[in-house]
Amino acid sequence: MSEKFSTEVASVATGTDKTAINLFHSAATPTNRGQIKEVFVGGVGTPGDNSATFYLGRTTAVGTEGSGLVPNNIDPAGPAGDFDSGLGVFSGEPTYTAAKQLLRFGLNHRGTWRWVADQGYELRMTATQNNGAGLKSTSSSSTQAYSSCILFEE
Amino acid sequence: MLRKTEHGRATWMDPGADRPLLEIKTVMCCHCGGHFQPEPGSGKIRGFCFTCMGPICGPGCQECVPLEQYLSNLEAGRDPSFRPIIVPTS
Repeated sequence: MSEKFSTEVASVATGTDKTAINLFHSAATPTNRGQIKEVFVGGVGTPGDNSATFYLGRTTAVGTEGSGLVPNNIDPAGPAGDFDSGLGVFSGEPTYTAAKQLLRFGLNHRGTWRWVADQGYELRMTATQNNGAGLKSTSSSSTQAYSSCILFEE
Repeated sequence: MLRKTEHGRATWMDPGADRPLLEIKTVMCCHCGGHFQPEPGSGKIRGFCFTCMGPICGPGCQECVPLEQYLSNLEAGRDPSFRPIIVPTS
């Protein structure tokens, strides 16, 4: 049975191509594919009527992350996973697979957004070292801060 | 056999509202695995693959490379549109 993990970032400012979370396989010879089950994004700080567009896509190389977080197994007694996550602010963006978006959505800073996949229709990532998926803002009407969380299985 | 017409669900919430502002269903492209919102009448070009029997997200995915094959291609470092040629032996 697959194990369920979560990774999150407390606050990352939006802009043009500003990655919040980059989830990637850290194992040298991965044997499993990660599957993103749920994504949450919500504004933090003083809310305002500003908007941002977010993009979730597969990544093929890690960037230069602001900090790292080893995803937590939702089952406290469960084993550690093979995935690692880089959190913003990135000084070098991860490499995204061009023209193959997994999700795209717009959000007002006052709002909260959640996406959940049905069983069997999760966003699948490749079983290759340093490959995975990234959540980034692609454009925004101003610089706003958002927190985000990704729940996935491996 | 019935096909599922909803593969995911996106919800927009507002702190001042007692219920979600907007809930939409998303469907998964059977070739790239991305999710999109079906919007009849929007003018966006989507499609349906009668080999995979699933929706496709746009012209970039019109060539039939099933998701499993696509992911295998990426993992093997092959051309993402690679499909093996299957030849009958009898």
